[in-house]
Amino acid sequence: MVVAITGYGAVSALGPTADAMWAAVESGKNGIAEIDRFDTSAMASTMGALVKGAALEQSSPDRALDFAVRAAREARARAGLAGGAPRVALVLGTSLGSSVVDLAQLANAVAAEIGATGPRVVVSTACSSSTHAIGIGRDLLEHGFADAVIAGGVDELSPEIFAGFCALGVVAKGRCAPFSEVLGTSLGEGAGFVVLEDDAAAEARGRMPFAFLSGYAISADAYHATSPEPSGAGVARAIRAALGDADLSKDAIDYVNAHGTGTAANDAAEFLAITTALGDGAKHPAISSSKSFLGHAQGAAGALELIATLMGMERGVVPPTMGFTRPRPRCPADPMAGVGPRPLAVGHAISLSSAFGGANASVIVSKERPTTRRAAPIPVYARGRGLVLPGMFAPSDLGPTTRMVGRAPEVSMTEVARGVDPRGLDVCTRMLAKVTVDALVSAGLSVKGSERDRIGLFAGQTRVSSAASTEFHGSIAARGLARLSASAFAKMVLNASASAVTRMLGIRGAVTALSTGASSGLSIVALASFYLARHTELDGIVVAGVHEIAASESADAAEGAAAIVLVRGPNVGTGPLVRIDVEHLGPPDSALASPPDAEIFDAASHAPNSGGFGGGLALVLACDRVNATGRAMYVTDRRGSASVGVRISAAGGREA
Amino acid sequence: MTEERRAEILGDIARREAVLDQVRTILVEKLKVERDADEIDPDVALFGTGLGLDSVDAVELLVCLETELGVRIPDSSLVRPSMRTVNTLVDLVLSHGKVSA
Repeated sequence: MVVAITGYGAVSALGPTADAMWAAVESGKNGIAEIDRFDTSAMASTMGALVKGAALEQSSPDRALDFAVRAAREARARAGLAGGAPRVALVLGTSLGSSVVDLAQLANAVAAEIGATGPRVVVSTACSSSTHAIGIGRDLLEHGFADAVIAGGVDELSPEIFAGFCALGVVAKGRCAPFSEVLGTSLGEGAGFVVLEDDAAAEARGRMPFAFLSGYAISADAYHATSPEPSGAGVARAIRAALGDADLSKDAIDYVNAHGTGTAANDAAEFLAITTALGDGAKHPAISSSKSFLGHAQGAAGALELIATLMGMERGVVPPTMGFTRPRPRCPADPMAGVGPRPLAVGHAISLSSAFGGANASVIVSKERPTTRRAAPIPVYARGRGLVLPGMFAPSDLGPTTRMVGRAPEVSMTEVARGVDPRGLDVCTRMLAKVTVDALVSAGLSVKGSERDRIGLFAGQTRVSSAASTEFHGSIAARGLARLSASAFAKMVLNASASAVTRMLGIRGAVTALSTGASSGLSIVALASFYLARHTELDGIVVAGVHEIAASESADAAEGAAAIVLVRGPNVGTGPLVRIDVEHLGPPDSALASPPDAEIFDAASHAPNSGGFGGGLALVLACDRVNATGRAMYVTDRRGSASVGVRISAAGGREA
Repeated sequence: MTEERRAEILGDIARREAVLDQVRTILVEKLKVERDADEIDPDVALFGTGLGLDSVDAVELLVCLETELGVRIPDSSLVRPSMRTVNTLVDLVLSHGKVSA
């Protein structure tokens, strides 16, 4: 399938629409200005790229929802997707860790407003969220679970987030100037969405695509909670893997829309990654950073920057890097510096995003229809298991009607991996680390040397660690915004735990955190299997569902974690093997046609109130059962923001 | 040595011990260092192979010293040399904190 981009919409500091944004770019307007919406007097900076305009400035109950609905509606209208269009999926990238309890609720609210009738998935890897979201949109189309996808991201700049970045010392006092003298970033906000469709379907509707989505990838730095890996190796892996996915050589890329935050650490590492993966000595493709005029719109950044890239490609220009004075050492000498776009014919462009916890993402867009025919995705298998159950249960206790409740016992890190510093690890991270290690070991897989690049980790969870969240808000209450806990702030992103585990174990192939609400533990398997089926640079992906109980949670909640390893084929790892087939991925409560030859197992049966843990648990138990009986099982979940059906069968047992 | 001088020195030692206790408590309770407070060697390095703190922890540590021990640092060039070991932190608190005499 060739995936076409047939629409886009943007709400940014440069205006309420994509056209307004581009008009501002052409006239050299900079969206970064004095912040007037909240008090910044005690902060390290007073500057930010806030969304302006009468309709958007009034404090509606949920600014993020407002931004997302406007941008997604614009994208949908531009694509000419009629109201009655068939299955339209929504993939929403957002950071929003500090205020939103259930990210899937936001996705459902946006979907209801814009009439998205397909599955809704939230990607929350902080500042790379929307870039990964757009890639997942491609996967949903390719696997036939949507007829069109609205994919992108949203974030608002809250005083807490602004204060958090200031505490980390990464915010420029004035306007940021990526790759130039001023060090530090400028924060922003907004929403950006693109519409993705099968090119044949777009053509049948008589729509001319703006461009084609040729490839995407994610990677993990496995380096630090907030700083990028100085060598840029993680970003370079994300670039190479996207080139592989797109079947393009490095010389094909004409333009890089860089993450380019403006911080000393990011810009130098990213430039090194670009010159390594796309360059040849001093030669490299054209590079610019749209954060120089949009600010850093966090979870929306990647989508907004891709839209700026697309709008430039349409016009034969590339967006500039504004605010450039003199080049910075170890940065490009001329990052398309100027106040307006520069003429450049771009055939293929790559947009890069990086995030807290070293979660990198990249997406490649092409002006011409890709000619290489993509092979059908390969089948995916699974082996290995890891389980952390609520304290009063052992795996042998699990009868068909067992209902689990309660907290899990504390995981001792010395038993999980040697030499791990357990300092400050929250319950969520500890459980995730244990099930990841147990799953890898029981699958006969090690993470050493170059194998580290060939393993990924996908976590399904509904929210950040509740203990970390309590610590973050507690520090604000006790010491004020300007003195909030920087270390707790770094944990206010959904991927914090998964990223901490990649650091601990040296997993560098991929890291992400996804939510579809209560079905997260099962939907993660579907999304990881799509990724593995396309990304030959990986041998396996650990898929884990996890849930840490909050103090306020009801008494029937269950805490725990569960993991299996998706593997590329029977030759990866050792031990019992099952085949994983994603049969269904639809809107919540949608009908799940069951294969006649499989026993149905509902993910809510053993731990109905347990975030991402319940789905993961059901999956592990179903794999055990299939291995024991040789008979197929169909694991289902209809809750949260998606309905999921995954068929698990004895490997090789399914003949055509 | 006069009695006054002797009392002064003993007072300095007691003050230093008290501040060391406070700094160790911050390291355990706020920075989550997984050791008993009195097992933290005053000369252990804060970063790297010592207590394993990083740049994010450094921010938190400075805020804790400010809010809990009243440390006001007049010159940012003092920060780095003060954050080598537990003892250099104690020196910082003694010279720039609101230590009750």
